[in-house]
Order: sequence, then C-alpha cells, then structure tokens
Amino acid sequence: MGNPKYLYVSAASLTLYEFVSEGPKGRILKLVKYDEYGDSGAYNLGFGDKIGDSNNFDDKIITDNGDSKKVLATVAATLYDFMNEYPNALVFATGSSLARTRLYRIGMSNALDNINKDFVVRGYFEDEWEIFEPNRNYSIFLVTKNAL
Amino acid sequence: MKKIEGSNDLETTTARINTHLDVYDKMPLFQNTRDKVALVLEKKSTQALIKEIKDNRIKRRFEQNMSIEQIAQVLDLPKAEVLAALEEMGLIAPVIA
Repeated sequence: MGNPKYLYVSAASLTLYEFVSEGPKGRILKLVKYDEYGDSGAYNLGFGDKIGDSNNFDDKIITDNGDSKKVLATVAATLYDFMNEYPNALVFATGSSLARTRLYRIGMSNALDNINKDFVVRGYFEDEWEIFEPNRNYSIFLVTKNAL
Repeated sequence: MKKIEGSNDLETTTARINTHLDVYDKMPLFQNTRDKVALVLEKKSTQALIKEIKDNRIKRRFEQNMSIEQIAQVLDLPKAEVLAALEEMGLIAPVIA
C-alpha cells in the first residue's frame, strides 16, 4: 500500500510492534499487538498508546494527533509482517468504540483492492460472517491470508 | 432493626444488591478489543467459520497430494485434527485404532 506510514520496530516474535506517532499533540508511542487466544490460531489485532515502559497499551484513549490515516497504514503494514511469519493465523480486529470500528471499516473499504491481493477480509454483521463489502456496518473483521 | 420507609428490611435490600451484582457479573466487560473479540469467538457462527477455513486449507493441501504429516506441519495443526477433518469431509476412510 502506497500510503505514508511510520517506521516501526518489532519484537522477535513479530507479534508486537512499536512506532511513534507525530503530530500536534507531540510524539506518542504506539503499540500494535497480535495476541493469540490460547493455542487456537486466532489472534486479536489490538493497538493503542503505549502505557509507560510496559508491553501494554490503552486502546480507548483518543490521541487526536491528526495522523489517523498514517497510523492505520502503519498498522496495516505490520499485518503483512505478521502474516508472513504466521501465515495460518486468523486475525480478528475491531475498534474499541463504534466510531473507531467505523474508521477501520472506511480505511479497509478505501484500500480493499490492495488488501484483496493478499488477504481475505470478512465482516461480522448481525451474528453472521460474510466476505467484506464496503459500507456494511460490521462490528468485527477477520483477516486471513489469501488462497492459503 | 429499623425499616426504611417505602422500602424494606435489610434482608430484602441485600437480596436486591445481590441481584444487581449478578446482572453486573453477567454483563460483558469490554476492557479492550480483545474481550470484545473473545465474545464473538464463542459464537457458533464464528466457530463454524473457523472450522470451514481450516477444513478448506486441509482439503487444498490434500488435493495437492501432501501427506497428512506434511499438512499438519504446514498448517501448524495437530495430526489428529488433520485426520479428523479429512475423515469428516469424506476424503479418507475413518481410521480405526
């Protein structure tokens, strides 16, 4: 994807990524975490502002650093690295609020042609899963590697 | 014990508080998105989708003439799970131990 994104560093496991958001509110450390549910192969893609020196983050905080597109593009870039390492992973993602989920949906809709080259995206709508379609009010997304 | 006007005695009040706690206990607590996803992972439709995705991956490998061991290794699944899926899809005869 050709959108501007931040450089990031990752843990050796490639399940944890860190980058710095830069904007009017200053330099804010962000974490992206792919967190497996037990040994299921299902992961939650979570991200937010890093809390202190921990490997944890606040995914509810509203940073308002004016760079949400760049932050989303960076998170998407980590997905490529993660999926290269864990090609069988089932990556679930949602926003910590309805507004954020909507923002992610819009971001995915805009980049869908590119995303579809490498991934299959599904959306959860009214208790059912379907292949992602723009402008559907999904509450959760599932990303898997294409043609695996 | 003094009763509260328009209300009830302590026992009733305690029962009411417990009911409130029970309801609260059953409410989903969205600490972060992980909790939200965890709830959906438990749904039948999600379980069915995960199985379908895994089965399709196994089937595709099987049709590429990969051995059960190879499929298990490539897909990072227990051999028993691969065997069970292939049996269930009717691609191999049930293995009787």
